Order: sequence, then structure tokens, then C-alpha cells
Amino acid sequence: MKTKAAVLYEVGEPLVIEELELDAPKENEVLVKYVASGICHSDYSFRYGVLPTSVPSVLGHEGAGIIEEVGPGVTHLKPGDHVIASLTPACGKCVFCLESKPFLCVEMSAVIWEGSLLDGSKRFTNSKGEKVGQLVCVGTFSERAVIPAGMAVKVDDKAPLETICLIGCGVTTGVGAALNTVDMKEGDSCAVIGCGGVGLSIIQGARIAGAGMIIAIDPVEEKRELALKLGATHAVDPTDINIVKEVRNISRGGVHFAFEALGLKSTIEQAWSMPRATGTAVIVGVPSMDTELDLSVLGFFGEKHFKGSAYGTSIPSRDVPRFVDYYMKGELKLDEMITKRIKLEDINTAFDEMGRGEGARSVIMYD
Amino acid sequence: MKIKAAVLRGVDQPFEIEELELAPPKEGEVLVKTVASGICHSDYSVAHGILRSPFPVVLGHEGAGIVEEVGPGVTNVKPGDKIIASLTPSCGECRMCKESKEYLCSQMGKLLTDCTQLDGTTRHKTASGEDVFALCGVGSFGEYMIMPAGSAIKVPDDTPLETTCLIGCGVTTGTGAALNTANVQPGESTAVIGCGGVGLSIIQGCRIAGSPIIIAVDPMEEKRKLAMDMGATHTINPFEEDAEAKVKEITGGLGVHYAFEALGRVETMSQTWGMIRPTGRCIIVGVAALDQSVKIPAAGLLAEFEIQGSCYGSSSPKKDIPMFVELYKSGELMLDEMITQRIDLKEINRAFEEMGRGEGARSVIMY
Repeated sequence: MKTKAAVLYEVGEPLVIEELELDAPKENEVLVKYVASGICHSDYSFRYGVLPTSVPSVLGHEGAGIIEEVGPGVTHLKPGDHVIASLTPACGKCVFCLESKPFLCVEMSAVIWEGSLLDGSKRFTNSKGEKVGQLVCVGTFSERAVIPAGMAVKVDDKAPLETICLIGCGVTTGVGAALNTVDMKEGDSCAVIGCGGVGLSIIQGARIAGAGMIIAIDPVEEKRELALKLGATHAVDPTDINIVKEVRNISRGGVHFAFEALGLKSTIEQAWSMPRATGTAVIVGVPSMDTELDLSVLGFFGEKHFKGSAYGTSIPSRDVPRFVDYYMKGELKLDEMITKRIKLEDINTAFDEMGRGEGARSVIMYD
Repeated sequence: MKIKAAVLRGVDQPFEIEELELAPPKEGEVLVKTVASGICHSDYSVAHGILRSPFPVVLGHEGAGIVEEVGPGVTNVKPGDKIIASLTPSCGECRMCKESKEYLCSQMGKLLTDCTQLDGTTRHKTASGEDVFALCGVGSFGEYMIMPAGSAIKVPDDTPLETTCLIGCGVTTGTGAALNTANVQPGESTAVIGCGGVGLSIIQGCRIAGSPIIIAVDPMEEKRKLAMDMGATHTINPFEEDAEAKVKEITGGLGVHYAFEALGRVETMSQTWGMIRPTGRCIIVGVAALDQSVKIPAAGLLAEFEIQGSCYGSSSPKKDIPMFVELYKSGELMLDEMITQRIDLKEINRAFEEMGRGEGARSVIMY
């Protein structure tokens, strides 16, 4: 079957919109007709080589759609089911899945940088007959894709796919960081560095957890305003001020949790200085793999913690439907996070805007 | 009263055994006749300027003794009680004490750096009337000690103080790091860098917690042997083997659940990051100079690596010190084996030289 897709041929270059040939699903795979896909900052990182990927490849990893066909052996899904593409196949057999940590599923880590499906082969072919990969096994910048059945999480038919697609990556990553990675108690204080899709999701997770103080940090005024609307109690422009001192002042000596949602060395190191004694710096942003961090030993004296958060420490079969429920109840605000809905053809413009730090989330709508 | 004590008059100088005048205990203070004092690596750090202190000073902070006299208002101990000196006065008033985190009592750092009593004054004077400071408000390198009543932890009358004095610092710091800070669970794997008094105590804590793989890392053969006697299952000589690679190999390529650093060197702190499995935790127990930083590669963050400090074994002394005494009496916690020599106060300079060469686990001064 034919599908229109946005393909990265060379790192740093614009994506090419073209028609690809798509093979049918094999064993334990499903064919998904995507309804919508968010554009996540990691797509930007892959496009510009901050994170490694093979080319050519269909980018996109924050999608929701409808099952069109299931391959042999698939029992938990059927054509017509509404699904969100999660970022782990949750194989259920590896050491981490057995420890209920499917966000570290070994099947995923084996292929994540390859652009292939779990068996190592690819389902997309371009007009020159060249095999084309798909990012993180899901490749949501395409009208249709074949993905591992374990990554498709069934959701309530009544939930609007064009909005809940954000739960596929940014929202689960952010809300999960606040609700799963750390044990946030009612009344705890937190700071969030970076108010894009992930940062705003962390803020919402903190609000849902009952945080008493949520300090949003972003140089862009529109993002700070959005942060206040979504639950932040304070919003600070870090430009030209000592942001660490400011956070420590506002929180009377440091926050319980400092979340970093940008993936930059400088802001990660700032996050390490923001918590109170026994507090935690949670690094949600993904820095380039060769980054070396310098952690001042001072923080160890107050028993501070420093840790990474991967995909919101989530169990997708549990958390994706849970976050959909939060949305349906009005506790998790997603419509407000979508700053623009675009056509696949406009994707390169959306990347340019992201590069300038504009807007929280653009969502691609498929016909 | 007149007491004999080892006095240090500056960085990198030998101790002088002098007769000092010790004033009686003031309100909220107790006078204790020292029975025994361990020599801890932090004493060495102060003597060589890695940690700062005012001079002249009586070092020693790992002491046990018998209460001789109590100042006004003291109700927790009475003359004749056996006590172990803890490093925290557990003021009960500060934010951390109110959160049951006595190991971070706001008064503790003050006693450590100012070397006075809680009211900011000293009790020791030289024959010529010069004020002499006392490390941690304890000063166990003297025949008698004055300390805040909250630092004096009563232990049962049948407790052998000449051995349990080690619980005052090294043992609580190490065993507490395994049992409290890390909270090692049965079946979880561990690695410990540095097998001095603190490292050996961590190893014992790991054994008590039920860790089936305990990897001890130390260049000295004698210490590696001691580590095996106390519960280590594997040892690594880091001068002959790549410690990080070896830990991975022993754990089937995965890494350990917890890697402890007990030397206080930023290079070995960085190494712990290369020893843990995904979602594992590095516990920094050793104390490095405050202006240093630990280099860690950002890549581990995606696997939810975590690093944190451990301060005084995250212990609440009133609860934990009697518990460690019970563990010693039941044979679970081996302390006699950790004491490599018992010395007279006048041999203190020799013991410090040996410590500088990395020899032996623990010297204990007997009064």
C-alpha cells in the first residue's frame, strides 16, 4: 500500500515529503492509520543529529490512530481500535519488563537507533526501491505505519485522537516524571526548567500531585503565561538573573524537586543547585550523548539526589489510559498545549519555529 | 579540670600531647570520660587541610565513654551512663530535625566547621589561657570530652565501649549508607569503592541487608582480604584491573544496583556511574573538598541512573546507634575485626602516618 510520509535523508536537511510503499504487518505487528502526530523536540534533535538515527528514516514518534490490520499472533487489538503509539514494546520477557520497568525494555534498546522494526527489517520503501526506516519503531510522520503490536496502546474510542496523540511522548514523559519518577507529596515544591510540551506536562503532573509551589522557568513570555494557566504558581524569566538564587529565594531555601526539560548541560547543572537538602534534581530533557556533566560535590552533603527520568518511568499499558482519563476529566489540559495544527507538507516550517523556541506543540493532522 | 589531649596547631603539623584546662559543662552539655576513640579518615582530612577547622584544635569525633557530669537542663543522660558520641546534636528545633532527618541537623555543620559548642564558645584552654577548639563539639582525642547533650547517645551498660566507639562515626556512616540511604533489598547487588573503616561498614551493611553480590574495590591486599572476611563476595584491585569493566563482568554485563564511594575522591565518585545498572544508584559516602565537582557522562540519564550523597548514614542516632550496638552484640556487625591496632594517645602521630599510606582499617586510642 502507498502512504505519504516525511523522510529524513540527511541530518540537518529539511524532511522530504514523498509517497512510500508500505509492507503489510508481519507477526506481532499492526498497521495503524495515524489520525494525528505531535512534533516533539526529540524529532528536532534527531533531525539535527543531536540524537543519532539512521537515514533515510520517517521521523515522528508522538502519534495516535486507528488499527487497520493486525498481523499474525496479535490478540489484544483488532481493526477499528483506537490506539496511541507508545515508545516501548513492553516485551514482558526481558529483565526490565520483569521488574515492571518497560520504559527500559531491552527489545527497544536493541533497535532504537537503527530505525528498523524489532526483527531488524524495515517496512517502508521509497520510489527508488531503497528501504526507509522509522523512528523508534513508530514513524508517525506518515499517514500509515506498521508498528510492533506491543507499542500500540488501546484507548477509549470517545477520546479525540487529534489531541490525545500528545500522550504518546511528551505528555507521558512529563506527567510521568512528576507522578512516577519521583514520589511527590501534596504540598511539595518544585521548579521546572523549560516550558515546552514536556515542561508544561511536568507542571501539570505536579499540579495533579498536589504540589504547593510550582516555579516555571522559561525565557519566552508566551510559554510562561501558558505555564501559569496550566498550574504553575510562579513563572520566572531566567534571562540576566541568577536563576538558582531566585528559585532558592522563592522556595525559602530550595525546592523538593527541580525538573530539567531542555537537555542542556548548563541548565542540568543549574537543576542540581536548586533542590533543598534531601531534594532531587530530575533530568527529563535529553542531552547529546557525548555531554559530560560537572556536579559540584557540595550537593552530596545535603544528601541531594540527581537522576534521569526516561519516558516518565511509565508503564504504558497502565499510564497511557490513565492520562487519557485525566484529560477526559479535565485535569490534564492538552488542547491548551497545542499551539498549531498543520498539514504534513508544512512540517519543515514547524521545525523552524521550534528552532526559534516558538509555541509549545504543533500537531500534524492527517486526512 | 586538667586533661591530657592531642592538640593540632595547624595543617600538616604533628599533634602535641598537652595538658589542657577543661571547663565544666554548661546548660545542655555533658562531660564524658573518654574510654576509647577511633581515628577516622575525616580526622586525617582536617589535619591535612582537606576539611577546614580553626586552630588550635582537639580532633577526634569517634568516641565513647562514661558520663561524668551533666550541665543544667540535661535529662537524657546521667552520670555513670555509657554513651557513644554522635556527630549530630539532633537539636530537635530545625527543619531537618522536625522531618526526622537528624543527620542533616542545621547545628551539625556548625559544630563540624566551627569546632565549638552550640553556644559558639569553647570549653578547652591551654595552660597559657588560649582557647582550644574541639572537632564536632566532641574532641575525642582527649581524656575527657564536653559535648551537647543531644550528641551523647546512651547505650546499654553491658556495651563494650572500646569497640563500639567505632559506631560514633565510621560504622554509622557506612552501615547506615547501605541500610538507610540505599535501603538495599535482599537480592540486590552492590559495589563498594574503598575498604577503610567506612567502606568495610558499608560492606557489612550490604551483607546484613541480604545483598548476594558485594564487590569490594581497594588496591591494598590486606583490605581486600578484610573485605572478604566481612561479607564481600568479590574483590577488585583497581591498579591491576579496570574496576568498572570488572563490575559489569561480575554482574553479567548489567552493572550493580548500588555503587558506593567511600574514599572522597572525585575520580572514584565518577567511576560509580560506570558501575551501576539501569535504574541503579550511586551513593557518595566519601567526603571530597567542597570546591570540586564530579564528572559524569549524561548518557546514563536515559537509563534513569541516579547519584546521591549519603550524610552520616542517613541516621537518626537515637534510633540507629542502639540498633548498631545490638547488631554488634548479636554478631551480625563485626567490629573487633575492623580494629587493626589499639594505641596509646601518645602514638597518635604514627597512626596518622599509617593512615596516610592507606594501611590498616581502624586504629583505636585507648584511655
